[in-house]
Amino acid sequence: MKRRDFLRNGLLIAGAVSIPGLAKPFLSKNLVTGTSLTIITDDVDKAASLGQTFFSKMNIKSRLKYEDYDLIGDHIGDLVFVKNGVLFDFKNSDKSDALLLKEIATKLHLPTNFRNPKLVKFIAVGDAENSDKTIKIFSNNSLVKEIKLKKELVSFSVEGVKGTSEFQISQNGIKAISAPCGHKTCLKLGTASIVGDSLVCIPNKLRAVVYGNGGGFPDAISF
Amino acid sequence: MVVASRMLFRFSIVWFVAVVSCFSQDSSQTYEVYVSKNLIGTLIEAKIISKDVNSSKKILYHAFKEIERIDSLLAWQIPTSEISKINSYAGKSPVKISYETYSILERSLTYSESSNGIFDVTIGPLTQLWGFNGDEEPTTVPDKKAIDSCLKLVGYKDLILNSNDTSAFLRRAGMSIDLGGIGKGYAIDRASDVLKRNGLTSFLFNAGGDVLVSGYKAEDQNWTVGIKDPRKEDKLLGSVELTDKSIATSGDYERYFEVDGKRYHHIIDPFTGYPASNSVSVSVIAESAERADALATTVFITQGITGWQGTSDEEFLIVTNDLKNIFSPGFKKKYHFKSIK
Repeated sequence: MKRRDFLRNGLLIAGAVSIPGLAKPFLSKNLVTGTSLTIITDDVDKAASLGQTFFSKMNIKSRLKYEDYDLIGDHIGDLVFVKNGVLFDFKNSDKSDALLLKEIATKLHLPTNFRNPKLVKFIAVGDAENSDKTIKIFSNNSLVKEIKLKKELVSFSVEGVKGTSEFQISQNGIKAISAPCGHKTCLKLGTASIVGDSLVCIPNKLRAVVYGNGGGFPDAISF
Repeated sequence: MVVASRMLFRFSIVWFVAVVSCFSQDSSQTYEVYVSKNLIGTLIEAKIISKDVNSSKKILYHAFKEIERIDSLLAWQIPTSEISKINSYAGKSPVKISYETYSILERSLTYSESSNGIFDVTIGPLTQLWGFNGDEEPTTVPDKKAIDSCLKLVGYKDLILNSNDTSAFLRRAGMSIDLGGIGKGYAIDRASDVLKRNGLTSFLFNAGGDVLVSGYKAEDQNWTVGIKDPRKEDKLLGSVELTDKSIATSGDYERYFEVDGKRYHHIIDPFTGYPASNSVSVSVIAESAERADALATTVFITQGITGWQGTSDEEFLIVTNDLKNIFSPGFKKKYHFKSIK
C-alpha cells in the first residue's frame, strides 16, 4: 500500500464522524483545486509562520487565504501541497519547493499522530468559474467534516452537543433534514448553496458552511 | 578617505538589507485571514487582510473576546447581565449600570424617538410571549388576551435613564428590555474598534447576516456583500460593494412558523403585538452595524419610506409582500448594486 493511501485510510478511520463512502480526509487533494498548502499540526502558530515563509518564496500571483480549524480526535499530522490542481510529491523530489516543504515537515515533526490537532490551510484565490464548492461542517467550533458537493443525493449524520443532526448533500448544496433541538430553525433554512451561506443550529452547536475559493464570490451574505 | 568610508558604509547597508531580505518573510504578500466561531447565539465570521497571519489572529482573539464581553452585559437570556438585572428590578427600583450599557440604552431611546416608537427595546414581553428566542420552536399564535396584556408592558417612554448615576429603571413590573434589534450590530462595531486600535484597517465581520466592512479587500477593490433572496433560499437578490460601511437585513424567512398558510415570524410590531407584515425583507446600509440593525428593523415594520430616519449616507432596499424591490434613491449607484438573476 502506498504511504499516501495509507495516510488517507488512516484518516478515514480516525475522522471524528467519518462515514464510509462519503467522508474525505482533511488532507485529501480532492477537496481543493488550484494551489493550496494544508497542514495538520499541533503547533498552529509555527505552521502559519512556516507557511508564510514558504509562500513568500513561491511566485504566487493571486491572493492567499489563510484558515485554521480545530479537529476532534486522533489525526495523523502531515502536510499536502497542491499546485495548480496537481498533488506535489515533495517527499520524492529535490526541487527547491520540495526542500522547503521537507523543512516545514521536519520543523513540525510531521508525520506524527496528534490528538485534537489543528488544520491549517493556505489557499490561493482562484477563478470563481473553476472553483469547486465544498461544505465544511463544524461541531462546537471544531471542523468535523469537509465535503465536496456531489451529484448524487447523500444523507449523513453529525453529532452535536444535544444529539444527532442529519444533513443531505447534493449538487445543489446542503440542507438539514432532522435536528434534535426544539427550534428546528435549520430545517427551515432550506438548501445552503451559495458560497458564504450557512446552516446554523445554535442549540446543537453545529454549522455547515458553503466554501469556494474563487475570486468572484461575495465576501459575505447579509440575510 | 571620506569617499571611501561613505562607499563602505553604503555597501554595508546594501549588504545588510540583502542579508535581512534573505532570512525574513517577504512582507509584500498579503493574506485574507479567516476565522469563524459560534458566539452569542449566532455565527460570527471575520476576514482580515494582513501581511502577518499570526499577529492578526492574536488581535482577532481579543475582538472575539470583546464580542463575548458585550453579550455578557447585554443579553437578557444571561441572568447575570446588566439587562437581566434591569428587567428583574422592573417596577421596583433603578439599577446602576455601566456607562457602556447606559450609552447603548440611551441610543436605543434615540432610535425609538426618531421612529415614533416603531423601534422599541422594551419589546421584551412580546418577544418572550411569541417564543422565537426560546428553547422550543413556537408553533401556535399566542392568545389575543395575552398579546394585549404584553402590549401594555411595552413602551420606551417608561424606560427611565438617569445620567447622574448611570442607572436604568423600567417603570412597571413585568416590563423587559430586549436588545436583539441592535445587539449583534453593536457587538461587531466594538470588535471592529479592537482591530482598528491594533492597527488593522482592512477587515470584515459577519454576525449572523449583519455585515461590517472596513477598508478594502485588495488594492482598489471594495468588499462585496451579497443580499439573500427572501423567497429563494439558493439565490441572492444581488450584491453591493462596500468600504467602511455596514449592512443589516431584517427578514421574515429565518425564524418563523406557519398556521393555516399564514407566516408568523420574529419581528414583532410594538403597536399591534403581531409580526410585522408589510415587507418580507429589508436591507439597510449605514455607517455602523448598530445603526444598520436598528434601521432595518424600523423600516421592516413600517415598510420603509414612512419610517425612514436614515441620514444621506444611509440607503435601503425593501422587498415588498408582492416581491417587488424598492430601492432608496442612492442604493444602486452609491454601492454598485448588481442584480443576480
